[in-house]
This record gives sequence, structure tokens and C-alpha cells, in this order.
Amino acid sequence: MIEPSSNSLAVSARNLVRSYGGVPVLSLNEVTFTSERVHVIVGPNGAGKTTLLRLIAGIERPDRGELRILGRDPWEQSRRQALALRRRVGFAAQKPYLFRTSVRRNVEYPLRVRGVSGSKLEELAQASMKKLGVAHLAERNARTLSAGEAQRISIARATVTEPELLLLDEPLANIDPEGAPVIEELCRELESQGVTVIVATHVLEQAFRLSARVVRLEGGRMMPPAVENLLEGELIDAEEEAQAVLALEGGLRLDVATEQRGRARATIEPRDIVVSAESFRSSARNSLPGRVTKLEDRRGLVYVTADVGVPLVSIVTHQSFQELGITVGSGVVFTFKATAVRVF
Amino acid sequence: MSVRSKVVLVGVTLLVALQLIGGGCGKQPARLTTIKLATTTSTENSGLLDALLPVFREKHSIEVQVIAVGTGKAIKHGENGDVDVILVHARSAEDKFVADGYGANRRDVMHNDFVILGPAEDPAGVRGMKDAAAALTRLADSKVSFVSRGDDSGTHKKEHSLWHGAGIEPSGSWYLSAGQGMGACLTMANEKRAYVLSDRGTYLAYGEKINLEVLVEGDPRLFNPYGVIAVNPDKHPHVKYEDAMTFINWLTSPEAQNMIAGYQRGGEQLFYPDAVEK
Amino acid sequence: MGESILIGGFWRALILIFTGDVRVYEAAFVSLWISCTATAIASALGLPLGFAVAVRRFRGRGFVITLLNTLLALPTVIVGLFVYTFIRRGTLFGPLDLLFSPGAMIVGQVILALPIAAALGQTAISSLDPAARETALTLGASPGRVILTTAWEARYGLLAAVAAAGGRLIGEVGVSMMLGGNIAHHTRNLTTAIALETSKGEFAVAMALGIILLVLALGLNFLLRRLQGRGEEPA
Repeated sequence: MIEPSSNSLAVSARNLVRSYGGVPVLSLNEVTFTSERVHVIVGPNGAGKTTLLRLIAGIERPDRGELRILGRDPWEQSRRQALALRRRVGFAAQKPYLFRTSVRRNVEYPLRVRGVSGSKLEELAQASMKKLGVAHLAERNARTLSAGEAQRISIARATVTEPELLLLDEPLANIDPEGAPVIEELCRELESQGVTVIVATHVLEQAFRLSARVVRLEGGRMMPPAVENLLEGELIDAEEEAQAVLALEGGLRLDVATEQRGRARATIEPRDIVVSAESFRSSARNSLPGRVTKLEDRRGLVYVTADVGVPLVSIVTHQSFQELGITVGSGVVFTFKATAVRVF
Repeated sequence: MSVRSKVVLVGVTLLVALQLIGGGCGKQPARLTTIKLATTTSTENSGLLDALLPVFREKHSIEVQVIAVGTGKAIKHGENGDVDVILVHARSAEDKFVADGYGANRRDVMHNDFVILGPAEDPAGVRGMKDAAAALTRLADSKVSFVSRGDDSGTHKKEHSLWHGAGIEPSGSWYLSAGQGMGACLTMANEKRAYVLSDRGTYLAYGEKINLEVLVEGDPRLFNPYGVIAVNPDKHPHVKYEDAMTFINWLTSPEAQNMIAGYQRGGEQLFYPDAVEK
Repeated sequence: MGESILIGGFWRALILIFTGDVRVYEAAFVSLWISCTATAIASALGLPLGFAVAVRRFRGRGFVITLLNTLLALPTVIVGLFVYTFIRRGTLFGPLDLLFSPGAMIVGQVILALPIAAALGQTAISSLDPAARETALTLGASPGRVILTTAWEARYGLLAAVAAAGGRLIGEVGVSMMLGGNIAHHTRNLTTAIALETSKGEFAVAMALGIILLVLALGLNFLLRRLQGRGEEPA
């Protein structure tokens, strides 16, 4: 979890517990989601991702703990307040339920219940359908569509009212190939518009393509991040073809072997980073000096964390460690190839 | 408007229209009153009332609503004050009705008669007998099938009194207690080639539908007198006593009595007027 | 003779219909207006009851559902008798002078159809995907709107409940006879007329009336199916 850049939290929860039949399916000490950012909840099926989203959406009630959505407790409200809060949140379920009517009327539904009518209703619905690439299905019976189309319509429906907080449960699970980039683009666009988006997925790759703000769940509990050395930055052209420079916030620039451009996240396997006391000449493009901030002995290996502009972790064997003779505060150089940087 | 909306509109309009018309059905023009008459199904089925009542309505602006049920039920409705007047043919029950204070002003109206019907081949050999009790005795001995009303109706009471008079308690597999109306019993007797006691009116009404013949008739004990009784307003203050009396007076007037005599079914006279003024 | 009653009845039916026989049309009209009214009232009361039982958890819920389903088998004469004891003179509703009137028939038929509307309505809502209600909620519908949307989504089952109630009523005779009295022009509907003609041995006429009754029932069902919408069966 990256430190919040803004002060407001779209969602915050403490000591949150939800059980079914006495068995806890969700048990979180503390979790927060900053406003106006894309967040991802990642984990295997049954980890509690859907439960967490449903709690945030207000269709399930926590058994214990504090929960604040957009600054309010959804269960300590009058009926009218609770409704107003629900209307600020959009939710697209994993298996979307579409009403027994046309696609257009499905997408219009959230607007109708808010009293929108006439040409405004038509325009907003049309725009939302277009954005999700389902405008050509407008008059079709919503029940006769493929899973991928249904998913996109569900999202069009959830976003037509421009909610402040959008929750997407496995939006790419059944998606057709055309749909995936549409949804990813939507997330990027919403983020730039100041919408808070929380996406649940079980595919790690997908998670990091969408965001660096990843919460990992397993068995209803929060787990440490699945990858070490998670970086976020902008991929720009390098002098050589097929090479890019990952410009991180804070100024650090890394050479990366990829054709991808634009905002992206990347990771470097700790075992791909070579630790040395001084820089040396090699074919590796990235050579970063820094200072050791932490040393950990884990399972017979030594985990060396150093601040080279960003904190990075490397692994060395005990023997190597002895030979290097470094301690916390020592100067080191982290070296790794451009190809060692894995871009999401 | 979509097809669906049109269908909904039609449906709702239909419902409302039905309401308005139907609700209005129960109401009469201001001058017309109604009274309720309980009578027996056989009386109603004879068609006599269909001939008489329109004339009465025309003359006195009173509509008589007819509820046709079994004799016992008709009398019960009178006791409960569910109706304003009853017309039945069960003398002893009628007398009790008046004696118990439920009825006021009983009048004789007409009579018809009962007949014993049976298959043309007459296996029990009762054709032409003039003594009804004796005929029934012979039927019991021969153990040929006999269909009984079994429903406490006027006909059933008459049948019962005949058995009683012959000193017989009918039972056995040959004695079929149907528990149904006269028409159903005739049909049953027809199917089973059995004997049955019936009022002449229903028999004539059935005409060619059944293949049974009149085998025993004419015994005075087979006479079937009808009485009309107003429900006593002392017991049930709400009943329309005056209008009921208007009806009773008319029914026993020469005009109505002549109509009764003139009423025919299957080319035969069905009822014989009894209210002739001397 | 059986076949000739059927065929004779069919011909008789056509003749009665096309000659505009007053008795037949009167009886048909009485059947329609009384049973449609009673169906409408029973549905207006029973469907919401079934809805409430379906969505709310309360103690004894299982018992109520079982009770409703049992009442589906109520014999019509029992209902007729029951209502009779409450509306005849000298009882609670005596002064309303309801006995032997269309009003009494409607009361009896409403009682008869209420369990049908409630039990089948309950089933219709229960078998609806719970996601329907949740989806309406998350899309910002107010609690009242959620109920409407849920009912709309379950409309197939709900209309089937109405059709079942209507079908039961239009073909019943126990309530009609006992509470209406089979009075010509007023409370004689198709079923009591059939009973009358049968008791008179007029089987062909009874058959004719029966055919007309069937046609009416079919017509009403057809209308209801059209209301349900076409081709919106779940995949």
C-alpha cells in the first residue's frame, strides 16, 4: 500500500469481521482506500474479495468493526441518508444481474430511480453505452447476451450516474477480448476524473496493470504484497529502439526492455539484483548506488534492502553476504539488467 | 404506446367496464322492489315460475328472486330469515314451520302427484297397481333396484312415509340412496333399469330423455300438495312481509290459479290449483 | 350416448352463441364480472402478502408458507358455508343483506382465491434470483422502488398466480351456489347454470355452457400471457 497523496479516504475499515454461519469469511485489522485513485483487491477465489466489496457497497452488513464509506458509516444513518450514500457508490457484481428488459432500459434504470427523464435520460444512457462499446446492443433483450457483453452493460449501468466511488468485482473475468482494453481505459479515465475505483481480481497480472495500490487477501485476511520491488512510473522512449525508460516519481530512471509506453507498473525479482560494494562494468544497464536500510535473515538467505532512490530488495547467500562485509548504513550498488524489469 | 401497454390498457378498461355494468346489474329501477322466494328444485325445474313471475312483476312491480334448493334447505332458509317467502311441498314440515312461529299465513296453492316409474319390462310386476304401499312391498320382495332421493326432500319424505305405511324399512344392495336431485335420480334409474318415485312434473320434463314408464299412479297417498308461507316478521323484522303477502295473495287469486291450471308440459297438465275460492 | 352429448353440446353451443341466447350471455357476463372482480381483489390483497412472506424472516415463517399451500385445497363448499354463517341474518354481517347477492359471491370467491394469490405469489418472489433485489439497491433505488422492481422482475410468476386464481374462480360452483343462490339474471353464472341444466337432464345445454366457460377461461389466460410479454423466458 502506497502512502495516500491526498488526505481523504474513500473507504476506511477497522477490525472488520463478516461471518457466514459462524465461520469468518473476512477478518481485517485495518484497510484504507484513498480517494480519487484506482485500487485493486487481489486474491484467489474465496479469499473474501467479493465480501469486502459487498460490505463497501452496503448490501451486506459487517458483524463487527468500523466501516466508513465516503466519510460516513452506512449503517448508522437514517433511511434517507443511507439511500443518499448508496447513490454515491456504483457497484458492478461479478455475475451481473440484468433486468428483464432491453439493454437501454437497464442502463437507464439508475437514472430513472433518481428522477431523471426526457432527453437528459436518453443522452446520459447513450453516452454510457457508447463508452463501454455496447451502444449497438441498446434495443436487445438484456437476457440474451453473452457473459462479456453482460459484464460491460453492467458497468455501463453502474457508471451512468457518475458515482464518486466505483466498485468492480472481477470485471475482466468473463470479458471478451475487445472488452478488456475498454475497461482498463475506463479505469484510467475515471481516475483522471477524480473517481475512486476499487477493482477485485484474482489475476495478479491484471491487478498490477491497473494499479500499484494493491491489497492482497487470502482466507479473509490481508496478506503482505505478493511482489517485492513494486514500482510505478511513466514509460517513455529511450534512445535505442525496443528500449524504454521508466521514469519514477522522485526522478529515478530505469532502463527497461519493453515496447509498452505510458503509465505502468513494474517489478524486479530480488534475486535478479546483484549487490556489490562498488559499481562495476557490465552489460547490465541499471546500476544504482544507495545505502543499506535493512538486513533480514530469511530461510537461510539474506534479504538486503537499500534506498537507491526508491527502496529495493535484493537476495544474497550467507557466504556472499560475509564476503561483502556490509552492514546497515553501508554504501552498496544494486545492478540489474533492463530485461530483469518485468512490466505489467 | 408499446404493444404491452395497449394490452394492459384494454385489460384495465375491461375490468372497470365490468365493474360499472355488473355493479349496476344488481340495482333495479326505483319503483321495483324485490323479494326472495325459496322453493324446491323440482318446482323451479318445472318451469311454472318462469311462466308466472313475469306476470306478477308486471302487475305489482315486485321482482321475485327465486332460490331453488332442496326442500329441507328451503325451509331452513325460511327459518333463518334468509328469504321472505317459501313455496314447498312437505305438509308436515310446513305445519311445523308455522307452529314454531317461523311462518305466517300458510295457504294451499296447488298439487301435483307422484308416480312410481320403472322400466317397460316391469320385472317386479307392479304395473297398474292402485295401492302404492302394496306396490312398494312387491318391489322390496323382488329386490329389483330402486333409486331413492335420500336427501330429505319433499319427494324423499313422501317415499319414506309410503315405506313406513307399508311397514318396511328399505335396505340392501337393491336400494340405492342417491342423495341427489330428482333429475339425477331419474337418469340413474334409467341407466340401471331401476324403479323410482318421482313427481310427475319432472318426469314429463324429461320426456324422451329417459326410457321409464309410469307404472303406478292415482293413489291419493301419492298426491303432492304445495303450500306457500310468508316468513314471520315477528321472528325476522327485516323481511318484506307486505310484499310477500302481495305475492301470496296473487298466487292464490283466480288469475294465477287459472294460469297454473293452464300450464302444460309435454302436452299434459302438470299442476292442479287448490286455492279456489268458494 | 356419451359422444352425442359432446357433439350435440358443441353444436348447441354454437347455436346458443350465435343466436345471442340471453340466458347464456347473462350467465357468461355474471361469471366474468364476479370472478374478475374477485380475482382482482384477491390479487391486490394476496400478492403483497405473498411478497412480504417471501422477503421477511420471521418466526413461524415456514408454518405460514405451509398453511398457505394447504389452503390451496380448500373445498369451495366449505368456504361457502363459512361465509354463509357470517352474513346470514342474525349474525355479524347480517344487516348488510348480503346473502344471495353478487356481493356475497365476490366475498366468498375472494376468500377462496386469496391463498392462491398469496402462496403462488410467495413462490414467485422466492424463486427470483436474490441478485435482483440487491442490484436494484446498489443502483440507488429507494426501498419502495426496490419492491416495485423486484415485483416487475418476478412478473412472470406473479401473473401466473393471478391466472391460477382466476382460473379457479371462474370454474367453481360451491361458493357461487351457496352464497349467490343461482338466482336468474342476478347470481346465475355459468357454473351454477351448468349445475341447474344438469339437474334438469339438459345435458346438451349444460355441455354448451361448459364449452363457453372453457372458451372464456382460455381467453382470460391468453390475455394474461400476453401481458407477461413475449420471449422473455430466462435462458
